[in-house]
Amino acid sequence: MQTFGELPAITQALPAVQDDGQRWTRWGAAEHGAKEGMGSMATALLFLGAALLLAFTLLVPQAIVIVELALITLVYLLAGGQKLASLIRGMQVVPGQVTADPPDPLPFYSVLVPLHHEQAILPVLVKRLSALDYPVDRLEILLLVEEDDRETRWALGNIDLPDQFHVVVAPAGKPTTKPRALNVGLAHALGVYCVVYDAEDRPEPDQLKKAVARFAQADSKVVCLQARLGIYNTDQSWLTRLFSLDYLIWFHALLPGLDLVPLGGTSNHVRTRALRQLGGWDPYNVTEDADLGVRIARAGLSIGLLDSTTWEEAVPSPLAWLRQRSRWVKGYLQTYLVHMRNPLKTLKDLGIGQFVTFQGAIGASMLTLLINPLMWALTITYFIAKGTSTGAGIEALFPTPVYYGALLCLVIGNFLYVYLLVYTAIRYGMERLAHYALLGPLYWALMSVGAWMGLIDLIIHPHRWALTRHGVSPEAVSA
Amino acid sequence: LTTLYVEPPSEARDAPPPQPLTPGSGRPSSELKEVVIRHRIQRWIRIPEVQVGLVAALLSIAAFAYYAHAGLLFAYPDAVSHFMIARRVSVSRTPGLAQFGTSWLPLTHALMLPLVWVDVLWRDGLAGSLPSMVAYVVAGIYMFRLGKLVLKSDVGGYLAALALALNPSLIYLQATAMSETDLITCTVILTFYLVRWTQDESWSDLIKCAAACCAATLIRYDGWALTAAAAIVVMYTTYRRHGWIRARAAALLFGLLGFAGCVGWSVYNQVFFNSALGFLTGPYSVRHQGQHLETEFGLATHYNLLLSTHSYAQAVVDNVGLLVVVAAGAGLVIHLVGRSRTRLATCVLLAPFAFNVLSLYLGINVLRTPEITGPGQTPTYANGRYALEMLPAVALFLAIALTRLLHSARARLRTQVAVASIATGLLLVFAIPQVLQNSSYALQDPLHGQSPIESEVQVGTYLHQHAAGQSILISYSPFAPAIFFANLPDHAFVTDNDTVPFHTALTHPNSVEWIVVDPQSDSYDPVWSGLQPGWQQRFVLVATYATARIYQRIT
Repeated sequence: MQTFGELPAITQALPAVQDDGQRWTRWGAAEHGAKEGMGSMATALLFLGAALLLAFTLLVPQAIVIVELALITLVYLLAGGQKLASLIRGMQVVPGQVTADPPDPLPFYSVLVPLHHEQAILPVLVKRLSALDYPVDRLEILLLVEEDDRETRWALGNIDLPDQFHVVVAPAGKPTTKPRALNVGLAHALGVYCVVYDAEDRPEPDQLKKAVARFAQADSKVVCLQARLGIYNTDQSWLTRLFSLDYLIWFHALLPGLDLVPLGGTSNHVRTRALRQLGGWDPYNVTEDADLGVRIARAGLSIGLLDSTTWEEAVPSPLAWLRQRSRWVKGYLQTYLVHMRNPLKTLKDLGIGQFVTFQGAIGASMLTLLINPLMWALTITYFIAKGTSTGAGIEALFPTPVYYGALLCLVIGNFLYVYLLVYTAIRYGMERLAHYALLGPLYWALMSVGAWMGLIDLIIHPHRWALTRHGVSPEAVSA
Repeated sequence: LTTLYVEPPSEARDAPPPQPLTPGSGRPSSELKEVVIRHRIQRWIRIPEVQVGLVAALLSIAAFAYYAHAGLLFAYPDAVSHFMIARRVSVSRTPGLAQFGTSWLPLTHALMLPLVWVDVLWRDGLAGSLPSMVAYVVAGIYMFRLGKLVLKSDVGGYLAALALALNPSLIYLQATAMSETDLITCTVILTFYLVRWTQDESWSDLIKCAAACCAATLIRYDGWALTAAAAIVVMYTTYRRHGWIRARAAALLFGLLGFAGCVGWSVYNQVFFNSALGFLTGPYSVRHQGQHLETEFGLATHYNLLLSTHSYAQAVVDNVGLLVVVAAGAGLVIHLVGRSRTRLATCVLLAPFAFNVLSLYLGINVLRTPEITGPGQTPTYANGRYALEMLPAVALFLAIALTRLLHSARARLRTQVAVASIATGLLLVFAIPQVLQNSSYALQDPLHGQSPIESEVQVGTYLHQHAAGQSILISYSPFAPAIFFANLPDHAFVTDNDTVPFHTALTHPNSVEWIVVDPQSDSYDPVWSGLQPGWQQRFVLVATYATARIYQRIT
């Protein structure tokens, strides 16, 4: 194992954060965010309610379970209908097309790249971000490294960084999360706009110019642009193929159809001033991007989509994928709980339309992921035990309207999702993957496993960040 | 700009300039509104599809009124059975999806569901006829679009649409609750989108084609053959043009939706009747009926390919006329030897021919025509209407023959219209007498065939007069029309579609006052075969109509 002694001096380190900047590192959006949210009375009541429901279910099974199943079926129907409508609506448009040239001179742009144990990928990262087609005197690329991440700091000390690169060391502290590092970066950012890229990202070279042009032609309420994410190691494994399809349908079809955009991972271009006014990122939320999307909407501002792609790495192994997915679910749950501390306030802020989207895209989508295994188990048990007392017992739990509703969700709903996945693959140029859409149900089963891991992790370690290892594919370490 | 500018006519230049609309000048006058509406209607009426749709709608309504007046809407016992199924799904002792049963595919009945709730619509038959009538209008419109697409001319489109819409057998069937019109509509729609897809390769056209296939597979089993044929066209065309990967993707996009109906139907059979192939092997299946017919009357076409082909071809001729078939055959040859990219796709229309001949050959179907009668057999028309499924092919290829003829004669548009009018006139001359004399081929089976509805009406009337307020054990399989004509409340009948009460009544016949059976039914009668021995000691035979027997409990 490599050991690190005295760290080499980083040539382009920025000075320590000034006092007023401490606000970003210490608090960020946390004063309104996940930390408080997770500890709030409303959240406690929610968990208490869930526990009581479970207890009632065990004590008075049949009547309670029938009501629960009816409600669950209703959620499936409403959320499934909403998702399908969004998908179909989203497929009608090519969002975020840039129709004008960027302004001249170009505004100053800040690129924030949080790094955590990314020493292996660093040379490639520098090469890729150097390829951005943007004047270097109008650009700063801030490499955000944790103070205690000696490996990455060592690597940074041993690399020649081009002029536009700067290293920002986030002071040691809790929570050690990506949003906290981003808040440190935000304190330093000088750009009119800033964007977040992950270490393994490969943005299209003209993305910054496109973003500037799009911001220039957009309404001033549009404070953030989400670029599409794509996968560059699609063919590494069956899982990366399905991951690619997942991204394809999410970024090409679903997001354009939603009126509230839960931001996705990286490539979020933001008006820096607006982001500061919003309080930066919530350092306690493990999907700070989704949370920021909701906060933008609650502030009466909006998010646009950008017709440009950032290629990134999909985790190829099921275990790593589950860890990543569990973090996403955990973060979505955090986001939901935080913004549902005061549902009426959230409703007032978002309005009916966006509130419904919030419930469907964040709340119901997580709930259905958690419930899916139970429903599948019930269905399989029913077919195995049909004609026995167990089968009759399950039949008794489904009064006719609930039965038909559940049947509709199971058969038509699942079929439509698989079909849309096939169509998306073909329509957006990945026809070679179309047959992998048939594995969609298996992928959803894995998602449910990840969801349960996320829920358990949320309860045990509410703010722990399960780091995804990057640079595991050949494409990630080649420029 | 100068080249596009056209000097307005002198009267327009001399006319006073129009008064500008100023704010506060009030609402547009009713005169202006009238002008706008008239203008819109005129513009709308000039759309060929609208013209075809209107003509088809008028024909459809007129035919319904005529056949309703003539009392022929329920001439086919099957027509009554179709909307009785829809009624059972929504109103019966045990309503629900299981009432769709296993023998007939469910879409025709599902389309009637919103209407059979309304008692008036159900009683007068409109609930069964209306979906079929709408399908007829849609078929006419899509036949026009298909003809126009293949022939690249409106005249071709009109000819194809008229050849379809003026067929006397179709005019009759569309006024009833029979499923043939629905399938013909799906056939035309799926062929239209398939042909258009072969031209522009739009994925949305392929999905629409697959959706039409899916609907077809849920109407009649012929739809399965149509879908298989379309799938072959999709695979072959894509493979030839783009290679294997694209062909696989296209096949998946088409097949998943196109065959969803087949898979769904099997799943339904498994879930509700514990047999995924119940529709093929069950007691009410066509195969079972074929076996019964073979035992009773002999199936001459069974394992006789020549006779099977001859029988079906003869039925096609009987349904559409020899002259039309010959002209359509010429059109088919012209089309196949041409260079059109649509050749292969249009051949999908021939799939019903192959399917029906094969099913006759395999002995899972029966079709008889009076021209082909075995020694000592009486002439019958059994299932001759099945040949009507070739009507879209005949209509398209007839239009191709006529249009190509005009084209090769370099006829002007005026001549083309004149020839098209003459052709239409001939079709009308062929159609009108058949309609007015009730001699269309599709009507011959119920009027002169082996399954007349009179006995059903008599059974129904008897029950209405004698069994009001009492419970009747009866099977839907042979007696659906009788149940309809009895005009008694739905809960009066204990039928094989009410599993638990039915089996209770079979084992304890004393729980019902009346039992109706048909020991010689063409189809399986579960009451006759399911009743416990000795039941007749407690019941007395009170009436017999044809092979139907009505028993009353001895009090």
